[in-house]
Amino acid sequence: MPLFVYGPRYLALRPLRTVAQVLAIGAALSLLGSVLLFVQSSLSTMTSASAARVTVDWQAPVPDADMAARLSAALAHHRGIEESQPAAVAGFRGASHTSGGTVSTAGSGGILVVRPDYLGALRPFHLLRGGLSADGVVLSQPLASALQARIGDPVQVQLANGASPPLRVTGIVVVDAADLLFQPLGPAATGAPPAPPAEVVVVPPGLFSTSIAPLLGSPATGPAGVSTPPVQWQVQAQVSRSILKGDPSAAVAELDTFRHVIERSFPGQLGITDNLAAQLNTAAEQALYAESLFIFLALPGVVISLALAYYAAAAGGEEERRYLALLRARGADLRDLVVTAVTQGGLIAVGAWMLGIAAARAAAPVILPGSYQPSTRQVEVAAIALLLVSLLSAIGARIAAVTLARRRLVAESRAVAPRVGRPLWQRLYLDLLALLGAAGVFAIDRVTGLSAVVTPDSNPTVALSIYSFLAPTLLWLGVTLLLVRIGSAILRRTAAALAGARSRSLRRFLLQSTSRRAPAINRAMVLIGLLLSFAISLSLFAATYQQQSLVDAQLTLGADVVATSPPGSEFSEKTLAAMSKVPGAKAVSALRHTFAYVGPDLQDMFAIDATSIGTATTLRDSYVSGARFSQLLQRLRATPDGILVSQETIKDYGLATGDLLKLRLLDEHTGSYRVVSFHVLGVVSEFPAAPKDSFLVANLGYVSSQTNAAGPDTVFIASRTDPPQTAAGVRELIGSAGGVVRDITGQVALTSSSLTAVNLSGISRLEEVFAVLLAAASVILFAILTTIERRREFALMAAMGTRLRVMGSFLWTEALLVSAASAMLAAVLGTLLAVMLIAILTHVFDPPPEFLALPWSYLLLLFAATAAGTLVGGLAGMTALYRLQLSPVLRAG
Amino acid sequence: MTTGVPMPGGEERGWLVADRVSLVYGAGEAAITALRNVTLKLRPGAFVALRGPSGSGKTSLLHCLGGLQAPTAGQVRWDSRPLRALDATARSAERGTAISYLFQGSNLLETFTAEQNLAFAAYVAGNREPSLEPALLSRFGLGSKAEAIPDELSGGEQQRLALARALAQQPRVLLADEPTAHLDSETSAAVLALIQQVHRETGMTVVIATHDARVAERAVEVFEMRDGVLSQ
Repeated sequence: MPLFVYGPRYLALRPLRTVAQVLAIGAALSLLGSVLLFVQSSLSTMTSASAARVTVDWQAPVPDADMAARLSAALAHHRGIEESQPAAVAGFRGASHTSGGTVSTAGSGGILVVRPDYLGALRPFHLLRGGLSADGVVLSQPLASALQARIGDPVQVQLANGASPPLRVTGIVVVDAADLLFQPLGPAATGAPPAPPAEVVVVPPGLFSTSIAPLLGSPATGPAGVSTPPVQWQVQAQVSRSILKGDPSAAVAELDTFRHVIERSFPGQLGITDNLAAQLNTAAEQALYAESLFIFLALPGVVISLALAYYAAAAGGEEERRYLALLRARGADLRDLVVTAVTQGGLIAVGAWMLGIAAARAAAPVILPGSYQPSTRQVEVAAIALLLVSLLSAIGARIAAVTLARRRLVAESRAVAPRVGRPLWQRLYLDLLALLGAAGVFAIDRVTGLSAVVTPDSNPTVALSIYSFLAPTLLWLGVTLLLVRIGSAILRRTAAALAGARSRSLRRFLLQSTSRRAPAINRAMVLIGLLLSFAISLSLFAATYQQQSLVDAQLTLGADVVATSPPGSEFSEKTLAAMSKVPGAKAVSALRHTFAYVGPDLQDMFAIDATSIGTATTLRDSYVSGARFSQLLQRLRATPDGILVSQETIKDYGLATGDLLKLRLLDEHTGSYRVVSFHVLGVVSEFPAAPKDSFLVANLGYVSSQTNAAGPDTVFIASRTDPPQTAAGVRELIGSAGGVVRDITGQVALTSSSLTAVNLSGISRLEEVFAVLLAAASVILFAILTTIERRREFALMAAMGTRLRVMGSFLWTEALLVSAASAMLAAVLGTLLAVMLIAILTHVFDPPPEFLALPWSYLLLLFAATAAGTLVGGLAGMTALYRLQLSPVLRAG
Repeated sequence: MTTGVPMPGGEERGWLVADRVSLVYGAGEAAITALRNVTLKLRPGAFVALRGPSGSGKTSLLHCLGGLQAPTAGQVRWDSRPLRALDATARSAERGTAISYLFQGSNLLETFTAEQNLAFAAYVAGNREPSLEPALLSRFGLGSKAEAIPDELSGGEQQRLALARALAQQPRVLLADEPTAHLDSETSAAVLALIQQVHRETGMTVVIATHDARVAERAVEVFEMRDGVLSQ
């Protein structure tokens, strides 16, 4: 028989081990393939999420209104441009509004000139009330509040030359992207951009050219000698999202090319400021970090699977040795042995590759968003990468197994066993160095805040150091190597010590056997322990990640479900009572969102019901300073004129707890501002639905009585069921009265930063399922391989007359020991890794997590799977022992 | 073949009997007949050698006699009871207390030390004799090797320990399969001398399978095996 036939024959004669290797490598490949696809889709998600936040992609300054109109019209027809509009920005010195003999004024602000049909793909502001019109202006909400102006009211805007043309208000807007709209463009764009105005007047071009433009004055000369016109005309455009493909870097490259094409089409006419590219560049920086995070989360699973494959290949060394001896007896030299190993590895690799591809394809719908379709090239690259990994791991495992067996064979032929030195990593103490490195990096990370930088304006853009991942990586590596170094010795000595003095008890034999087999048991324990710790750290991280996404969304939205009344109206007691009875509503709390002047600063004020607010939304202690939130609510209940103030206000106005604070609040009855006194009860840094910087929290009853407000305009609802369902019920209830109902599920996608926008649930679920299956499989594999490894020993025991129950005790002892020790190792290491990972990522979450989320059901499932694997493996081993053919096994020795 | 005289009443108490035993491995064209209608009656205290070339069926016959291998035809009886009639537990009990093996090559439990190998054998056999292990180790010249694991012992030491372990079970029959196969002549002689000594002292039945005529000479009776057929 030709030698190369022995490879496949060997595999066919050992189906169990062959299948175990194919399954182990196949599992690793399916996970790796899924991760590759997930990373690709996540990066595409980052691209689309980042792009979705840009409400004005391109701005190009032009000399005048005619040019703006002409170029925007030409650009709008260009392929790849979704919309193009002419626009202009200018400034005003102040504004005023007279009502009932009272004059309300506001400071300087900005004028935005856009057509009434402006809002489409371009959405730098959104309407609260009314609409854009050709014969009136729209005010930003702060300006409308300051002027106490309503739709239909006349207002006056003071221009540079002192003129104050009268303008009629047709709507109120919230300006979302004032920083983009009012940024300097072209040659004027030097140095740090000025703070964007909060007070904005949106004016149609016709009204602007007739009533405002002639009064704006002459161009000003800046410090750099650049002439700044009083009005900056520009072309604004929104790029079609269909040209943004792949990860943020690829999208930026595509976008740059496209912009160059456009600029060449309008030579010298359009110098484009690319807001979209700037946003994508930020995302591209984060993409590297996101890739690292995903790989960090997934790689241990892949490595452990491959280690299991090696374990399956290397187990049963005795059998391997005999097989090798047979080959050598038939004249095989080293080259033949390598060829045989490569043949075997190749066959296993192809089987595992096919299995891995099929499993990854099956998993794709679970982990990938429905809209994502990987390109053919991506699939091809992934398939080739997986095949290479498969070949390398399978052939590597076979060659390692053959090499090990060959060493045994050579050692047997020598009179004196060769001296086996400690491996290089042990001599270099790489394990201890890795642990020290982990502690060092983590300490530096904590002390210097290297881990994360949140931009000063609390924009959820996060810049993280890739080196932060060194800490958990080194911890993982260090613990693994340390356990390999000392685990076996500890187990050997402990078991030997417990075995005690000479006696003929089964306990002693079991302990002695455990002591002697410590290296094999330790190997399995480390492998399965690492697998379980990977599952635990992943599940803790994923659960905390999910928890914080919801906390983040709830903090932004306010509660699970939030209902807001139509502008100028309130929720009645009857409606509130009906809301509390909506199916799924667990608790309801009404509040009023208004504004108050603290000195000259207009701040958001939340007038709450301190009795019920805690039941309708989550109020974490981390939101407040110096007390628990419940204590502050208690103080509010006891002090009608009490108020909670943000840290910034406390600092800016030198306030302290107990101080009297006089605010100006809008009297709903008279329409004018009046001074209302409050007493400071505490400091609050975060509050549901509140902005991040400055806001106030007071009692609803007191604020309503002082401002003559009819009642609450917002309701927080805690949902006991799926929030969208509860929201639908609330929507149905208030449908006829109008108002807006939003729920947390829809909010999650909107509030997340580009990093946290990535939905980890798919890949986490896949890896969790993978870990559960692998945990059970690895314990079964261990029990079966132990039976195979100790087959001759068990046959000798049986020949001595040892009962099956006693022989089984050796098997069960090892299986239970490996399972229990692995679980303990995993509980410690998994928790440690999760804590470390979350500490590193603290600033990605807003607010930072107060505690780890414990996915109890998953953890129970994981340990149940391990226990079930132990049971199945033990029973399989017992069955094998029962069926053990003594004569052939003993003859083979 | 009968060694010795049947007990009164035709009973075979203490006798180990292979009664027209045949053993075939495999089936069809690949079938190999290892034993052909072999009958061997071993009285208590017999010292028998089964001599024959490699592949003649010696080991197969030993395995059938010890209940490690069920014959294809015929039966093996111990104490008048067919081994096949015993359930697994009873068969184990017989192997633990009545019939011990001495295999060719290493047949020690690798995870145990020399002392533990003896202790485990005594445990399996339910032997409660105190100080058994040190006494046996000392008797077989292994007193200083009590804590050595099998891999740390020489071939001769391993076989002596295996013999000691067999005795720790206080068997009535010792089945030795090529007990000196991997030993030099001096060590072989020492091991055989020990077996003879044990036989004299305990009166146990000893069956040695060997291809070596010098080993067979040590036995009281020698049977020849060739192609699965037994002859005297």
